[in-house]
Amino acid sequence: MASDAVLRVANVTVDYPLGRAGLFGPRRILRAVDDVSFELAPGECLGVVGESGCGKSSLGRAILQLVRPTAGSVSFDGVDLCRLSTAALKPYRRDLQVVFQDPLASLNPRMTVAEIVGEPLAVHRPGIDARARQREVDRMLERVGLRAGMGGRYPNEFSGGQAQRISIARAMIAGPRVLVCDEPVSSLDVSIQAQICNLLRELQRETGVALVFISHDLAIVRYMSQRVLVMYLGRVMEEGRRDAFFAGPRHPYSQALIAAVPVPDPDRDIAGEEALLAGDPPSPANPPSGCVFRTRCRHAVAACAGDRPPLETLDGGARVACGRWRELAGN
Amino acid sequence: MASRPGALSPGPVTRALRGDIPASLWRQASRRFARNRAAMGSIVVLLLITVTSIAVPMFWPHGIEDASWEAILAPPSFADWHWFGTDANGRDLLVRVFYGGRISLAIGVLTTVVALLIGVTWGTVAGYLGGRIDGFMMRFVDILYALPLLFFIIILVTVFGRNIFLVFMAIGAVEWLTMSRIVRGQTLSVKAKEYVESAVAIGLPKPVILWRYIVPNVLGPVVVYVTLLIPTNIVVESYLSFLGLGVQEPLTSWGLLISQGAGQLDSAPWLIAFPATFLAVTMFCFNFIGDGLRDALDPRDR
Repeated sequence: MASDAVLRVANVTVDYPLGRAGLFGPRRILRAVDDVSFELAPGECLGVVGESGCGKSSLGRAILQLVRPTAGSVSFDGVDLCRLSTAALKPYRRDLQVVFQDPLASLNPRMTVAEIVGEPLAVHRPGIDARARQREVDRMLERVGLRAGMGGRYPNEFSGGQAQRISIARAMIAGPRVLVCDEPVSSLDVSIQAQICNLLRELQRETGVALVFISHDLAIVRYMSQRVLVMYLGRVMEEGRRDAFFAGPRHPYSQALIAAVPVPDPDRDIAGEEALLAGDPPSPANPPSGCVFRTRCRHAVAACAGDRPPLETLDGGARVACGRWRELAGN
Repeated sequence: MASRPGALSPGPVTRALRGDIPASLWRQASRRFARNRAAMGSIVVLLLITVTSIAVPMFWPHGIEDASWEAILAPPSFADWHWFGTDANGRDLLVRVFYGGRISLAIGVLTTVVALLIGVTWGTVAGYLGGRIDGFMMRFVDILYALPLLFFIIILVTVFGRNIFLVFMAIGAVEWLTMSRIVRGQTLSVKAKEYVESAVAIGLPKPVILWRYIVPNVLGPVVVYVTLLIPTNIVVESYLSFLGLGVQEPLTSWGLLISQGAGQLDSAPWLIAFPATFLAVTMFCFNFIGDGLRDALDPRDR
């Protein structure tokens, strides 16, 4: 896997300036993504999960160079995108595309659907003439489940699910090799969610595009991904292959997340279960020392406040950042 | 899927990509606008005022400078073609009102166009680029803001002499400041939208993003402000003229006529009534048009 990765994210850190504390105080920063690394093979889907504010969207934007990482590298085909100027980056924009959460906010209300979907072709394949481009647009619209005749309409005439299909058509038309999906189904109805997920899987199978699938919904991530990356306060807590991860999560945070997934069983005794995860994450502007999860961890001990637990790589490629996981797995 | 390979009859997609519908948004908007009766009526009235302002002084039996000793402060009557009456110099008011309409409308529209062009360019660039450039550009606006309009115009008049184009320039040069602030604020909110990020992700160059993504999406509030700015600028011109810094006799404008008529409100009320009516009707029209445009240009309100 090491050599054939299409995308290699290494030690990426994203800081946002928060301004000074007081008039002459020190400059404060918010570390949204802290030293995140992973690799993505062609045609693979990596699910990135975590609560709101854990940095998963910032990670997605950093991969796309929509925000420039403060440190680390994002290598596509061995080229570090973080070192490229905006101009030098342009050819790579074709290979890395994005689908956002809010489908209507991601379509320019002043452009027709045909203009929206055809625009990437106009940028990256300026050679093709208008008629060929129109054929491509029609083909792509039909591929994502819309009628070709809808191209003359404006985004406000479409439902959320249809608008998300348009976003996907725009993202896929130039033939990207990595598609970052930032909560692509979170604002849709459940029945539409399944349709969009299936569409993404079909496109992935047909084109071999690799997905970075960001979501807070573990059930959808389990359906979509081959591997899962769990983030908390900007850091990677655990990474593993899908089946192994869901069968035996090692990190207490992963265990809590999986336990929190609602099970549609009316006979289930909810009162008898204890919530493994309570409260909200601490502010990423002022993270806890040592293990960032320790303030909400059931298994936290004094040692957890000391050194930051390293992200340990285990046999089989799984990774976990918990100082006590072996000990906890023993009992 | 009933796609026939040979079928080449152009669907909407084809036409849109070919550019047969160069501004389909505007077509949609104009259809919505046409349904707005108040706005359409206002356009008719404004056109009427504009056309008569241009045409009437051309053939009216009295010129704007023709003084008649027989008819000083004559009340409105159909005798002698003094329909609106005459002023203290025996000049026909009707021809002066229409002639003043030419100048007032021209100043209102041209100064607003100047303000619009500079303000939108300045505001979108500052808002989109952000950071130090934004700070520098907006502090420049703040500095100009601190300069009083009158002071600015007195300097201009002193340096360049009295000239009607100076009035255009001076008003336009001051009114773009507010415009640029409005546009910058709008740009900041549009910039945060995901469609702008998707434009960056596609690799569009910054000028294209500004022109295709930012400008069309900030125009809604700008249009409303423009329709308020035209009457404002007509009024600004009138007080400049009152102070002797704007339009000079024997030329005239609605503002100048109103300020002259105000002095004779008791003895010759028609002197203020007619130009004030024209000014008021014009302002109502611009406001109705502004409302109509705002509704028509914002498809999300539908």
